[in-house]
Amino acid sequence: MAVLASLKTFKGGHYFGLFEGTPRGVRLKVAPLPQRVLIPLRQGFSAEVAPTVKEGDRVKTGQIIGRNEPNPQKPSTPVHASISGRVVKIEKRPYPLGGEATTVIIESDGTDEWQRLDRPANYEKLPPEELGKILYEAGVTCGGQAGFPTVYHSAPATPEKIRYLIINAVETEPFCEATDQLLYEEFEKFVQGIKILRAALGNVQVHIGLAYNKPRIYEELIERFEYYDWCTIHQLRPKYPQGDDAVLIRTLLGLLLPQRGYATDVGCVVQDVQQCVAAYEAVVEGKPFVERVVSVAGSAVREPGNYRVRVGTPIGELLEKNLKCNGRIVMGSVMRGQAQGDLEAPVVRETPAVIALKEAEHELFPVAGPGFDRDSFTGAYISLPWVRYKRATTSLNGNPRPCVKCGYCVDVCPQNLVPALLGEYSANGLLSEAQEIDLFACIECGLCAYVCPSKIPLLEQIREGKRKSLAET
Amino acid sequence: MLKDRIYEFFERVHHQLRARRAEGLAVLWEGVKDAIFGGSEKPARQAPYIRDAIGMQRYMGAPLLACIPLVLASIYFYGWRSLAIIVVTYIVGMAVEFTFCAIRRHEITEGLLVTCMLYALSLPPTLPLWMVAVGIAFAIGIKELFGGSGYNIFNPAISGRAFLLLAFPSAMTTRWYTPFNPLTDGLGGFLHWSPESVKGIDAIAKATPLGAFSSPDVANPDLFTLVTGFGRADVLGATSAILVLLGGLYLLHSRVIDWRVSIVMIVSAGLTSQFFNFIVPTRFPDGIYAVLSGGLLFAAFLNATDPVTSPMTVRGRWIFGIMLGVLTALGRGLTGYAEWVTFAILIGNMFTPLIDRFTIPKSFSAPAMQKR
Repeated sequence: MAVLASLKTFKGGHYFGLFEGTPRGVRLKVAPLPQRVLIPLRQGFSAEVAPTVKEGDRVKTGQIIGRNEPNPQKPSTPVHASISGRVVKIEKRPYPLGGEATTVIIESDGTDEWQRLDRPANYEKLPPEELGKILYEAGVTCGGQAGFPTVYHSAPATPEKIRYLIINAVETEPFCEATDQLLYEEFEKFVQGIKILRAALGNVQVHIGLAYNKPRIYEELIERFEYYDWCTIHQLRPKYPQGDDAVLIRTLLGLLLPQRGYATDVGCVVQDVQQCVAAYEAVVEGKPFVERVVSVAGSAVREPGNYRVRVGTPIGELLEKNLKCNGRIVMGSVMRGQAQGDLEAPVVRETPAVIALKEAEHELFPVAGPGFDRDSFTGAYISLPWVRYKRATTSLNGNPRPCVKCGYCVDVCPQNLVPALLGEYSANGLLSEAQEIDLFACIECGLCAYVCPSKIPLLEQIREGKRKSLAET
Repeated sequence: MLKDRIYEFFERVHHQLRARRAEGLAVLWEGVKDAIFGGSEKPARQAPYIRDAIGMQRYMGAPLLACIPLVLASIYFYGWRSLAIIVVTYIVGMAVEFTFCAIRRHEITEGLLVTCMLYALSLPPTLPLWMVAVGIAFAIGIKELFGGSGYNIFNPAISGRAFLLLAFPSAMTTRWYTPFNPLTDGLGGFLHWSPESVKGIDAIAKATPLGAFSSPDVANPDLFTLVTGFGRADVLGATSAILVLLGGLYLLHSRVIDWRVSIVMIVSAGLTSQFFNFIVPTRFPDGIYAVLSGGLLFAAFLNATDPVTSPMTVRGRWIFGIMLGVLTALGRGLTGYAEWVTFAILIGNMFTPLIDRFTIPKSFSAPAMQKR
């Protein structure tokens, strides 16, 4: 038996309080079918793919609308229609994760007619290539920060280079509760999904990283995997950013990721709960990956909830009538995501949450109080066990000041960097100096900018430094 | 709502000032607005879109909070004159800082309040008020010449004190008050201007505990006196070790100071002094005595931990803390001069950029891969 009960964690990081508007423990609901979807032909770790439909075509739910020839230089995964209807337009639109992407706009015909994949008779006996093909055709292979390797070049490595499959079941992003909820509600699919993903990689070692505050799931996982010597279950502290590839691999296996590299460079594939469930649904139910779980959360949301949402649904439809006040809308992650001015921006395959935050408003002497409802890395505010929710607005909570070298960013950095220096060098154009102190080891978790009492936009400065350095080479 | 109207008023006046090209006044006005609203109205424009509740106000407020018991104690011990020292410090310090800010048009920063407080609390209670003013003007002026808070090389409070030590050595080191003692004096300093105004010449003490140690004709105070400060002549803030410790523990808890500077400095000073006490007991006091005297606790918790002038990296803080502790203990013993906490911090400040430079930690990453 290779079940290991160890409580692991990493240096740095921060335990977030429970923010106002977090849908913790709210059961998953199916979001109503959208009237129209906007599907960027770029999903997850995927190069942009060529459309296979024309304007005016009728498509069914799950039909492939864009794919590339397999190309080892440009890993890609097919993209599917998520509702049935008519393609009304194919145009360039802003991609919610940054940049632009060709987007297929489909108008619903209301029938939701599916085009399913061929279901194999006995999936447990299928060879890895066959499983890989199904996963690829279903669009599951774009998940994680580096995709899922198949012989169709859906990730920067091929399956034979992979030694470990790592299951990321520790969600530490604030507001992202949907994947945890999925873990509770679709546990069976999750377990089978792990087996399928492992089989598709050719029976590699599996390491499951699970937050230790889920003892029930842990016990059930042990029950399931006790007799397999290929599976190790790790209990992790739910500290942000434990779910990041680099941090997770280091915590579980002690391997260091190369700078500017991916998990696949050290022989690992990291997949989250949603990917496992999607793999199961693709192989056993023949459902392509066109629906994912999304938390609709934030302090400006009236009823925070967790939803099963069709990929391509405009966020406006999710937030519609659910907003208390005008808020800042952020997709994916409040820590590293991008604010969306456009309510047409679509949910994509790697959007765990759509978050609407209250805007900052002026308060008189905000620092004077004891701050029971304030989340802080420091102990300068008092927390009380019965004050459940922490305040979450876009306020800086302080005035921008010169760096006082307090060292919080150093304490909190999971990658053991000195973010204050990285930010300063990047902002002043000292790019080679910044690279000397490992600019590219930064995983952009955003914690340094979060904790900074001088409110220096460190994450932005570091990203800018990386962009400029890449442009120079 | 009231707060909205106040905010609008501030914005309107600020606008007017800018329109009339009174940039200096606009900077000061902005400072007042920032003090009132604490940056709560400023939104995060880039990721992360939520930010920690800690701002520079709260960050710099913590040391002030830790100093409140010390201020009250110093009023009790040395009468209202000690409050006068603090008030003079603030008035002059703010005047100098605001002038620089208005001329150089940079923002007023909260560090000023801490600098003034720490400076005032590290002065002897007998110091003439005009000297207090000269010292703080020097401290803030030097800080501003280097570019203001965040860019200064030397801890401003300590540099002001060091200036006074060199400019007015006898006023700084030879005249002390025996404080009011709660065991005998009832409400003590709360009713009087200074011990001298009640007891006259009897209130003058010969030396601080550390001075007593190095001069053969003065008896060393016992441990109880050292810890509580009852009857112990010392600088305003450092009289009662127990209150300093209380403030220090709060600061450690609030994470505003790092134990790697403060505790390490205290322990290494104590150990060094204890070690040499075995060899030369006449020059080196035992560890406990060394820690409890000469303002070491106060400086370790409040001055050495000044973020700007101490290293950022974890290893750097260890080095800095050990260096300060050893320097203090060695300096005191070898020179017989009681002010080595001040000099150790100044020397440490000089090494801070160097320490930071050479203690950048190794990141958790493998070198970049060759291009495939």
